[in-house]
Amino acid sequence: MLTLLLAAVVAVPQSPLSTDRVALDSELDLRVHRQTSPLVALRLSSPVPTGLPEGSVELLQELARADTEALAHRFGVALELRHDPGRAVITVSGPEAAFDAMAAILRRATGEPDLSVASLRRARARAESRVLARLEQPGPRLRGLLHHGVHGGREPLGAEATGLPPEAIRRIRSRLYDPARLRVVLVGDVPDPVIRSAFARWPGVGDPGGPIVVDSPAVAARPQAHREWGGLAFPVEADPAVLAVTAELVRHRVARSALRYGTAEAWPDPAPVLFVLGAAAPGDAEVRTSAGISELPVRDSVDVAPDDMRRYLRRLVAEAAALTGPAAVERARAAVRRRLLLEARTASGKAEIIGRVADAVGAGVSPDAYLDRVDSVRAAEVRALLTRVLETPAVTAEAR
Amino acid sequence: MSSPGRSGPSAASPSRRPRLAVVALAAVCACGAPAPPSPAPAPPAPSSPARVAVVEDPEATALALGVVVPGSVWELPGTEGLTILAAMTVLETVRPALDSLGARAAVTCAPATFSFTLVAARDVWRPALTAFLDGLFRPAPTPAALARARTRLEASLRLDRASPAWQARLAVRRALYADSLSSGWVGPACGVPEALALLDTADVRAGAYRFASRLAHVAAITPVEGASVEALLRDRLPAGPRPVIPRPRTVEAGRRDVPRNTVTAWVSVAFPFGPDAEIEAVRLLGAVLEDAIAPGVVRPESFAAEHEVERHGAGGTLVIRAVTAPSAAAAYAERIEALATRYAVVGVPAATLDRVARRHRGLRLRQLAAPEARAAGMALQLALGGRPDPWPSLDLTGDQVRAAAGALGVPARSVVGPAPVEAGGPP
Repeated sequence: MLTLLLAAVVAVPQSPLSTDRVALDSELDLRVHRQTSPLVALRLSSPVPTGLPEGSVELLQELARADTEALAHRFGVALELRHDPGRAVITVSGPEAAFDAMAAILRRATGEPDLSVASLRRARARAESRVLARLEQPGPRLRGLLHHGVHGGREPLGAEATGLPPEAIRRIRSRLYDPARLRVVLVGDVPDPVIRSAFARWPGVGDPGGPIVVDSPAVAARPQAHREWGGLAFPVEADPAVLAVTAELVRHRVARSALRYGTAEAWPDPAPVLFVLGAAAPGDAEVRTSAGISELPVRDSVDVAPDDMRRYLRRLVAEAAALTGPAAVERARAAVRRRLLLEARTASGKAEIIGRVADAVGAGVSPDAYLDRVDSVRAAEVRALLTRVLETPAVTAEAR
Repeated sequence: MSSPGRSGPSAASPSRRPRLAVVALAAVCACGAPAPPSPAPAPPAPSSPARVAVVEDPEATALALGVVVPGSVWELPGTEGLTILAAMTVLETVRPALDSLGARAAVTCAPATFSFTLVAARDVWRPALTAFLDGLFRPAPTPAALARARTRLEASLRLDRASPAWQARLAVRRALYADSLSSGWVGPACGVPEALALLDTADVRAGAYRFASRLAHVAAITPVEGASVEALLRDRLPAGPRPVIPRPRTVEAGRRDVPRNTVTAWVSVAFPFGPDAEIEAVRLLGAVLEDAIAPGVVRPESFAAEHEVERHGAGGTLVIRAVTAPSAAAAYAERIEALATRYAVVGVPAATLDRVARRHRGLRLRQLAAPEARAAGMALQLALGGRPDPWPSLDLTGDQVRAAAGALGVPARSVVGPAPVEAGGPP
């Protein structure tokens, strides 16, 4: 065999998620993962302050959409504006040559909104449809209800913010996009002076304070579900890495249960929560919650009332706890780590993972340290956490 | 870094690239390898072409693999979809092993080539790669895997076939390859539900032999152990002559109108090009032509526009597609053809080229953002005799784009929409 060696210049190995912090002249928390790819990705996230009217995130994002999408289109840049549970997130990715434009997109998206009549009318309509989609589809609705149940704030009833006047929208923006609350992750090969220049003088926004009064939702949500959905949220003190491995163990058990759909997730932000969700088709099988779970065939169906569903989900958690041993934990550790690494194989995926981990573990822990911690989670830690989970009263929600 | 949108790679400086080292892009060829046993061995080629490329990328978080094999053109009437069904059955067969490792595999279909991809976290690259390649090159389809694959494929095909986009893609291929001997060039590359229902495990086993290692070109992007990956791939790919990527027997400037009771017309103009055309310049030219017919305030009769490059052993095809008001369909087709002719003579205006190239660079890089997309692109380049660059150069000049326009042949054209389609005013 003849091997042709064509020289290429690339970087030597570095930690997969290592980041440096770049000092700025503003309060923004900006972390950089340096890699020699021609693509650059930016992810901005901001925790949603408790008490903001439902739909505030969507309304501000829709007010910024036309302007930011036009700029993104000029440079072939991908732009995503979204509302994760408890966080407003904006991501952009594109060629390194468009870095300045991408930073400008973030600046515009979090800047003073266009509150002209036409802009407001368009944004209200779009925000309303996004909020209703989130509150009416069972999966996102249960996530929202449980997030509210654990962390407090306003009960998500409908698109409240879309009826607010311009002055209230300005105040919402000043709270949501306070630079001291923003975290930006940059993945790419951009020199520090260029980064500092692009993020220089990030505008601070003075919050006049005081409540934002909403009498009633502008448009109330009308939830619909064609299956029986149930969800449990267990607020527990936990190391985020232990919580992630535990959630993977429970997810593994739930995925092999009699439910039509089921999952378990770790919600580390703003406080640790183990979240379990399941859906069953009504009337297509006998009630099986009294059966031993291990006797249920994989991917069969279950027909349950809401109380039964809650008991069933809790029982799956107990089953996962009973099955927790070194081998199961090792499998779960590997699954968590591999999922992170696969998602991080693109610049935008890497920015997402680094940002999500940073949001979860805080500014003091590097994402690499988090990965190392995942690798060192022991079965005893998982068992102890599951014991606490099963002793914890769960916040519950259902959709039918 | 200068202003946004500047072209060209950024200048490397010690402060920006603090951990630089030289590593290898290895392309393994079969030169000097023992010839496979054969009753009548052919005389050895003076230099056999490369079939494997491995790029070591220490910044990657996962191994990505692309495998390109000849596509579905060999399918006869009544067996449309056998190749993709076999491919999906193979993937279903290896899915349990890959799932247990957290690895993912996929396949895309085209008449000339099928591309398989695999991604696996770096700590499981070896078992994942072994399971995937053994499943692909030594297929053992089971009835259960076939049933799962058929269910998935039928569902997606029924959705596809209801779409005018699917009709438009098929219509322009029929206009272009109508005189080809093989029905595969003019049939749906990914099959039809009716034919799938008639195929059994024996058919699929026969179809899967099309994925033999002697017919494959493989490329990998790996975070570590490039030599180990290369050795494993070399072990699975026997030495031998370069597999032939199918090429159409004839290409013609046909016309095909497909009457359809829709409120819009789907216009496709397909320009054939030869093997010497610079492929990234052809893509940029496609973006320029798409831009010229894209929806906008000055083109209210245009509802959507796109371009697509399809490749085969004799070059490929640049397809420009527009969705228009039916009365404007013919005018749009003529405008696309006229612009391509004009650009071959006088080139694309500089301002237009700058604007479109800026956007195209972002879109093209994002198409290649995932390492498995780059690996598949590298494998295709190998299969077509090109250089397997993970990131192709996008620093193209006006002269290169003009040359690409000059390399285009006489186009075929199709319109899917209400009949008769009347010519409207110029777009």
